Amino acid sequence: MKVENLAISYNGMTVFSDLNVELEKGKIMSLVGPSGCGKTTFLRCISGLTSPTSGTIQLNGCDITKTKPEERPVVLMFQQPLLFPHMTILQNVTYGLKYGKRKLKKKEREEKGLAILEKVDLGSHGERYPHQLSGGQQQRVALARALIVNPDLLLLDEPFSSLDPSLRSSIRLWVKDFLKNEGVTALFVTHDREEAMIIGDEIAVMKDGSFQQTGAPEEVYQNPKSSTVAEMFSEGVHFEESFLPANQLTIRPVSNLKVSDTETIRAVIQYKVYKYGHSFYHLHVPSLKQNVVVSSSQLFNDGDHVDLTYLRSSVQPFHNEQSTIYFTDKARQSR
Amino acid sequence: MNENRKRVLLQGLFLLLFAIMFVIPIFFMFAKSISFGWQWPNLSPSGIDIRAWEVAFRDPRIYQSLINTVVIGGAVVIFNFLIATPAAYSLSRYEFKGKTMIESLLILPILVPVLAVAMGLHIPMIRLGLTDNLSGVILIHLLPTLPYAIRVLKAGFDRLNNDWEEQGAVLGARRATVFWTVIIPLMAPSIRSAALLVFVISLSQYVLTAIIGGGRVSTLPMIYYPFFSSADEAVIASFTVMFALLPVLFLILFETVCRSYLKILKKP
Repeated sequence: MKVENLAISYNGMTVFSDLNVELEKGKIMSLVGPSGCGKTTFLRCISGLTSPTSGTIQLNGCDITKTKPEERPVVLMFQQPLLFPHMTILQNVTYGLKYGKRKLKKKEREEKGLAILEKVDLGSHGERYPHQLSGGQQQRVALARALIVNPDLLLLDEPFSSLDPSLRSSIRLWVKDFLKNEGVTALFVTHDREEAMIIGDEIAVMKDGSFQQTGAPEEVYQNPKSSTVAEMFSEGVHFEESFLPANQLTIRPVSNLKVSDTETIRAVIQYKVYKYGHSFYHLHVPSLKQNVVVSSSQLFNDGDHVDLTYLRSSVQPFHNEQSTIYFTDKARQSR
Repeated sequence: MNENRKRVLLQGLFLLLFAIMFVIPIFFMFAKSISFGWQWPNLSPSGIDIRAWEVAFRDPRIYQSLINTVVIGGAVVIFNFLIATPAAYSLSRYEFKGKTMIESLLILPILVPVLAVAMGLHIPMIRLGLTDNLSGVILIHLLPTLPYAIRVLKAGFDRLNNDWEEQGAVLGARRATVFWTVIIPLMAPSIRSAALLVFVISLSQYVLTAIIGGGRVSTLPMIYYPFFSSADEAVIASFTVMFALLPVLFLILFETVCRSYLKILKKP
């Protein structure tokens, strides 16, 4: 999939402009961004439900910018499962085979439908109706219904946002494995950083209608290229032109002692949580107006004023050039 | 008195009220039509008698008017759907200039006295040859029914948001296919209430049928109302029961049609 200079605006209001993205076959890309940054509109453009003002969308080398949504080999999964309530699960799953471009015979349809229901662990639920299924099961049926038509590209628009947190964490890993096993090329939209890292081979951080940074999850997390990305995707504190990862920070009681090569910033302990066998302190840094989470084995109390010390060499300046292979963001390059 | 007993008492009270207002009158109406010599203060009639029904059905016009009523009602329902569905769909799904104005214009026919409109339309309809026959009556019955049908269907389309159409489209189905296989079944409750409402309104038209039908097209109300001048309560009761039965029969028939449509959808 390749998207070039895609732009859209409503009544003179620009939702996004000059978006450029490339995604290799079989890869999954997570698109992270706050709500209202244009990520849903971006997906709608690619699925054909919304027409872009300018730019082109290519899939397997074909320009599909002007293709109708029902003609595109692209399926969009919505936030809600949207299973047709008057049809059984099997009828729902086979909808695209019955009414879609490639119409199959009933027997063939049902065979394929049952096979894919088996794959999503719902083989015995074919005769049930959507309301008899739980939210997680419904979302799995929706996934089966989307994949049965063998789309070249699957788009997922926060498909887990209507599920409760415990179900969410189990289903997202399952979905990732499933998509990988099936070799599906997918674009996954979320506002949850953890979810994006679990599911995506690649991460694209979006804000205010443009891609801030794209790359492998680890790279984006460790080396944010701007304070916006640092704030949205990384953990640590960021200064005007540089970033300091949280794992480079040490909490110490307030002192005026100066150690060479280190810097100190003042912080206040807000609260403490225990996770994965360690204690994590949530701190507020008044001088930077930022919050940061730092692990420490020392004991502090809520409300304590502390010093955060770090080696001067661990500060990473922001680099503005792009270095990833799969993504180019011409909007940023031209700046 | 504890909470539970209070609730049971309240429920009983509501049930009683419901029975007094809705169930008992209908029951008495039916009982009255088949009873003989039921005078105050007798609690029960002195005998059962189907004389009133015989009187009602002895009238030679009754069969023709029953057929007319059903044909007109059915045709009015069909034309309502043909006109109201696209109108309601467009009003619900598209944004265009003057939408609010068109919406308010569409309710005007039920705000302006229908008699005034019919009087005004009478002359043009005579010129067009649409008086004194069934087609003219069917046409004029659209006047008091269409505004309701459009409103009911529009509310139905509004309730279903656009996601369903989009979900169907991304799965590869054409717009029209999605409409018939997903939207129409999901609209069933609205379609059902619109159909019943339209049929009942058409059924109870007297003035419009009288003016445009010119007395030649006789429907149930046309022979029902004159019977009021007679003092035979049993005959009036039998007519009333007939009146009430028609929508029920219509509803049963309509439900059968709806269900067989859904069945056909599920077939390959």
